[in-house]
Amino acid sequence: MSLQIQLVTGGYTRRPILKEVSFDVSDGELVGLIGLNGAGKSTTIKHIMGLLEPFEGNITLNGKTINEDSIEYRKNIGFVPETPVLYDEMTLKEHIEITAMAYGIEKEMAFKRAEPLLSLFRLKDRLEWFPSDFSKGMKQKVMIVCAFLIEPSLYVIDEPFLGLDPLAIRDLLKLMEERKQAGASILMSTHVLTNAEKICDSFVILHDGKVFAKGNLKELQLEFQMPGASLDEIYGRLADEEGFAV
Amino acid sequence: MTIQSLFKQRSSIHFKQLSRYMKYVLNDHFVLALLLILGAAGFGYSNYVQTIEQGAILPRLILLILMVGVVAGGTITTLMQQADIAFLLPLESEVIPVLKKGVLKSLLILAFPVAFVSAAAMPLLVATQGISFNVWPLFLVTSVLFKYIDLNFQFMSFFQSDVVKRGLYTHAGKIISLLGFTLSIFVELSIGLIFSLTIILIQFIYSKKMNQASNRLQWNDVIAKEENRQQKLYRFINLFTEVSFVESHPRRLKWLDKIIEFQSGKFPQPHYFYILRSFYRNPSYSGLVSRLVLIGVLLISFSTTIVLNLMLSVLFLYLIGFQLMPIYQQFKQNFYFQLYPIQETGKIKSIQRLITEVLAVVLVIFTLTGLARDIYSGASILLVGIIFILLFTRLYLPKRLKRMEQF
Repeated sequence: MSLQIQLVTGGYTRRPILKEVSFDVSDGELVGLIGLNGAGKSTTIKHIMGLLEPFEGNITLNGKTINEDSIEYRKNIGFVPETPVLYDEMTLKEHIEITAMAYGIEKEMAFKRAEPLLSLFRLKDRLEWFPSDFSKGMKQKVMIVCAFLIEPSLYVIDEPFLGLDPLAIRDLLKLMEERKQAGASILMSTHVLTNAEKICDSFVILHDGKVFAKGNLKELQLEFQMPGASLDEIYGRLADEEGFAV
Repeated sequence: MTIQSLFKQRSSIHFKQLSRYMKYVLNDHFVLALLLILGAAGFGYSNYVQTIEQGAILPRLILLILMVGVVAGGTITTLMQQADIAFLLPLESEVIPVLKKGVLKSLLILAFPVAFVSAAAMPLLVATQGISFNVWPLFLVTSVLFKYIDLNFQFMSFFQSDVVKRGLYTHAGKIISLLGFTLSIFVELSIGLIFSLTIILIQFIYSKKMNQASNRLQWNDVIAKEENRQQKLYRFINLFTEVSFVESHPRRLKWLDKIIEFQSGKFPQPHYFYILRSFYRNPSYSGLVSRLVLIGVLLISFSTTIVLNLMLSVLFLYLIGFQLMPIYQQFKQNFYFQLYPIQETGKIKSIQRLITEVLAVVLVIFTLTGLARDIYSGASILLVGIIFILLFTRLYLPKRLKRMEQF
């Protein structure tokens, strides 16, 4: 069992945003975190990253909480944030170096791992460029390269598709599939439900800080009595019925 | 690459940038104005000190507020960046010592204003406490120690996950320095010093304990605080020269709506409509004007002669008008003004109108301050002020703005 979230209540101030959220991401599993803007997706991710502390409940990665061994915990997570955040004064190459340094990877090893990623995302001849001058999609690619070269046991990917070109989306999906096969767990939040449906093994639907439903597509279809429906349709129905849209 | 070299590089970039901007800040206008203000303030201050009797309470209260204010100003320079959350999380235990070092480095810089104000405070302390000037080192050390205590508390706040506790730590230094300076200023300097040393000892023991509790760094908070610190700095520099990374966080200020609507009139020009709202809702403009007006009113009411009165009121009208000019950049930053089907000349006209209106209100306030003394002061301030505003907004301003357009 890789990532376990048990009855987590938490938020930024004392007012809880998340209320008793529980779900797991097993080894080799890709879980889609679905929810409207403000449903608590990013807050959940911040708790997983240890940037916020739960008021109640706990989060374990490979059986350990962040308080037991924060370095080990963090080294096992590769994180792609929602908006690319990069250093203004560093080149792409230096971004790879700093990632290697932070995650304790040998420099040669890091570049060896980065190489196929860089060519996949057509960044190979931009190593000496400043990513802060890149377009949004290219910045996002840099974030993806840096997260994937860590080869962690858990990937946390926050809304990866916005700004990426169709080719890059396809490549990213393929990449995630590969890592999944290799045994990594992936938690991905997204609004792009068709992509999510294509690759996710199961879904966690958040609404108003609570887990509204979870399970794979079959289970969701069964639970909401919509056999054969797509994730988009189920979610749309849910949203209408529950008045999410308001 | 190591974490130390990374932060060293950051700090060299940061300070290089600052020193480049400092050249613009310390331009001839500003230095001249600063000297004039310092001179006038010093003159007024020395006159004022002579009227103070030993044991007077009010002057010491003002001093207390000033000392606490200067100690409360300034936060730890951590140079943390947004991207650190994505890249450096596993290095938390190596980042913490770097931040800890930042406490002392920041103290080295922030001790200067504290030292300056503590020196300026001495005549007042001498007059009210009947002590000699020789004890200044005592007061200086006490003041700097309070700044050190404040920075230590700020450092501790980096590890508090609970917002309320975090706020408590962030501001604890101010409360301690308020207590400490009350002892120094109203009881005896040495007691204030003993108090500060005691607090430092307690802090030291407590922080040792806290280390063992392995509290985790609140990355988001540390980064937000650093951004806040840099923004304040850049906003100040932006008054003198264009700084590319100033983000303003406008505030709604609902109570101003009526005034804004009244000033907009029924059919406002789009330029004026926008710039008026920028002015009121952006604290870097409206806050600046209110601060300068406050200082101006204080200096005018403390100055003794009509000539000084006139000089100060014109000087402050000029400063306010001059510092408001960068509001012109708002148009550059706003993409829509390149799309709207409206005349370009509206830009300069709207700034002219805004600055004229602001200066007119300021002049009324200065005139009233003058009137509080006698009718001649008031009348002469009003007359000279009107002439100055006309010259400034009709002749000088359009030329300056056109030049700004070229850059």
